[in-house]
Amino acid sequence: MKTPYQTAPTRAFWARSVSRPAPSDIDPAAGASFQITPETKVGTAGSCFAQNIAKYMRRIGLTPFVTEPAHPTVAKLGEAFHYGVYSARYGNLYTARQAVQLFRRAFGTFTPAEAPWRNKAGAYVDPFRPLIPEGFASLREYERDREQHFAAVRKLFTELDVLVFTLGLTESWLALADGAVFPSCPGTAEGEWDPARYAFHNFTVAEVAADLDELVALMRSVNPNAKMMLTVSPVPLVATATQHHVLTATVYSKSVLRVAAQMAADAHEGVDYFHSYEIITGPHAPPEYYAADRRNVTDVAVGHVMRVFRKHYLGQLAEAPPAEAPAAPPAPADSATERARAAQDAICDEMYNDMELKPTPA
Amino acid sequence: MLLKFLGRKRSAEAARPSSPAETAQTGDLVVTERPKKKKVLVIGSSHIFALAFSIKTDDDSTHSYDFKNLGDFCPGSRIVIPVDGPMGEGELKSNLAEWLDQGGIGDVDYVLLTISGTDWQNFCLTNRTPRFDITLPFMPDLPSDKEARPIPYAEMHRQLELYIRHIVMGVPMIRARIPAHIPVGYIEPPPPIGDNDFIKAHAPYAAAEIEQHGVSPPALRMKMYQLHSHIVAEACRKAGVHFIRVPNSAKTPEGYLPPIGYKDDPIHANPDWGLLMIHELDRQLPTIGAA
Repeated sequence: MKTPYQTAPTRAFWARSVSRPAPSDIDPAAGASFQITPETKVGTAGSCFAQNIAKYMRRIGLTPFVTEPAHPTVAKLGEAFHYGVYSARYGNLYTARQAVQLFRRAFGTFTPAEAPWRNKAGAYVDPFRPLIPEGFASLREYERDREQHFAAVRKLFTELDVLVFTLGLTESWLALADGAVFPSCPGTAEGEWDPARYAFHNFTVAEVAADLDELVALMRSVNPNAKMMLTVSPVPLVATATQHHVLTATVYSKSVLRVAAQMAADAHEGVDYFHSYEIITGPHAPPEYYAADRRNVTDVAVGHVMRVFRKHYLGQLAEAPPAEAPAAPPAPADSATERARAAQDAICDEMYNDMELKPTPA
Repeated sequence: MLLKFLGRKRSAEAARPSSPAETAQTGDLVVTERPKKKKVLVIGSSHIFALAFSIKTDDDSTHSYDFKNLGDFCPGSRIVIPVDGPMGEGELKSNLAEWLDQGGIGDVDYVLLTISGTDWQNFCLTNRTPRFDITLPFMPDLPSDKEARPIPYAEMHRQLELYIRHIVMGVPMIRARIPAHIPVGYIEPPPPIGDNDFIKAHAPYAAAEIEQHGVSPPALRMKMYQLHSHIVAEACRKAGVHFIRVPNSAKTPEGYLPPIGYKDDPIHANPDWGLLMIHELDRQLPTIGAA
C-alpha cells in the first residue's frame, strides 16, 4: 500500500516544485474552477495591487468590465480622474467590509451617517472615495455623481461574470456612529481626525471570513451565476496603527486575509483563491520581485503572477504570448519622493498613512 | 486686411461742448478742435466682425478702433503650438509672435483681444450620447437636466481648459509681447443663443448631428459658455489682462444673446450686437490702466 505522499502530485513536494525549478517558473496554482474568455465580464476591485489585473487584461487585449467609464466628452481625462482603474469609480476597497458596505450602499440597504467632507479648496469630498481628484464643486454635484456611481455599482454586480477581488488590509478606520468603513484614516488623505467619531479596527479572521461570505451572498442575490476570484495583495502595510512593528503587523494582516480567502474558496462553489501572494512573497522569490523599498512590487513580479493567471484562467488565450513590459530592474528608491512617485503608479489611499510618502498634489 | 473703421467726422461735432484744453483762441476766431480719440487695436478672429461692422454705421464711439484679423496672417484660431498638449507646454505661433515683436500693433493706446471664443460650443451645440450636464459652483441655480449624466465640474473645467489652451496660454504670451504701458483687454464672446429653433434653422453644417441627436438644452449651453468665460477670465487675471464682460444691455435677462443680435449662424453675433459692445468698450476703456 502506498502512502499518501507516494501518490501525491509533484506540486506537493518542495524540492521538486520550489527548490529545483527556476523561480520564475514556479506555479503554485492547483487549477481553476472557471475560465475567462474574451466574452467574460470581469469586474475588478480591491486594494492597490488589484489595479494590476485590469492593466494586464488590457495589455493582452482583454477588456475589463467597466460600468462607470468617464463620459465620452471627457474621456481623455478618464485615467486622471480615476475612471477605469476598477470597474466603477469606487477607488480602493482594502477590506472585505468595505466591499460589503459598497454593495449595500449601492443597493440602498445601508446609508452611512457620514456627511461629505470639505477639502482645503472648499470642494466636497466623498469620505468613501477621498482620492477623487479635486472633489466635487457643490453638494448637488456630489449627490448627483454618487447616484450615477451607485447605478454603475449595481450594474456591475448584476451583470458581471467574475469578480476579481484583492484583499489588502485588515487594519481599517470606521465611523463609531454606524460602523461605516473608510478606505483611509480620516485626516490623512482628506477629512479631519476626530477620535470621538472615528476608531481603529483590526479585522479578525472570523470577521473577514464572515464578510466574504456575506459578499458572495449579496452578489449572488442579484446575480446567481457570478464567480469570484480572491487574491491577497503581496504589498506590505505602509504603516500600522497597532502597537506592533509594521513587519509583524503586515504578517498578521496578510495571514488573516490569506486564511479568510481560503475559507471562502472552500465554502463556496465558483469562488477561487488565486495565488499571487505566494508567487511574490514565497522564499523562492528573487529580490527583484520587490522594489528597493521592499514594499512596492515590480513589473517582473507582476509578470510572473500574470503568466500563472493566464495559464490557469485564460484557456485558449494562454497560447498567445502577451505583450508584457520588459523585465526592467527595480527602480531605485533612494528618496521618499521617488518612493512616493513609484507608488503613485497605483492609486493608493494607504500612502497617506505615512507623511513621508504623502504624495504632493499636482 | 486691416479693417480700419475710424469714426466718421460728424457735422454736429463742432457743436459739441468742449473743454478748455480743446479750445484755442486765434484773435476773434474761436476754433474748437475735435478731441483726439484714443486708439484701440482689436486683435482677434471671427468675433471681431460684429464689432468692426458696427462701427461702419456708428460714429458715436469715443475711441478710434482698428481691427486686426488674425486670419490674415495667422490662419486658424489656435495661436499656440502644438495645438494639443499639456498646459504650459507650447509657444505662440511664429507668425503672430514675429508680428508682435516687430511692433505690428503700432502706436495704440489699448489692445483688445477676442481670440477664438466659441470653442465651448463644440462640446454642446448638439446633445451628446449619453446626454451630460454640469453644475457650476459660481452659478449653481442654472437649471439642471435630471435625465443627463452629470460630469463633475473639475473634469469639465480641466477638459475645456485644455481645449482652449490656445487662449489660456496665448493671452499671457501676447501680453508679454506688448509694451507694459499699453493696457490689454479681452472681450468676452457673445453669449449663447437660447432659441433652439433658430439653431436648428441656421446650422446647416450640423444638420445631420442635430437631426440625430437634437439641439442641447439652452441651460447647458449657458453653463458651458459661463465656464469658458470663467476660465478665460482667470487666465486674463493672472496675465494682467482686463476681461471685459458682455454688459446686461447686450443680453437677455436670462443671459442669452438677444434676438436683435442674431446673425445667420448659431455662433456669431451681428453688428447691432457689436455696437452694444462698442458702447461698453467706450465705457470701460477709460477705467482700465496698464498692468
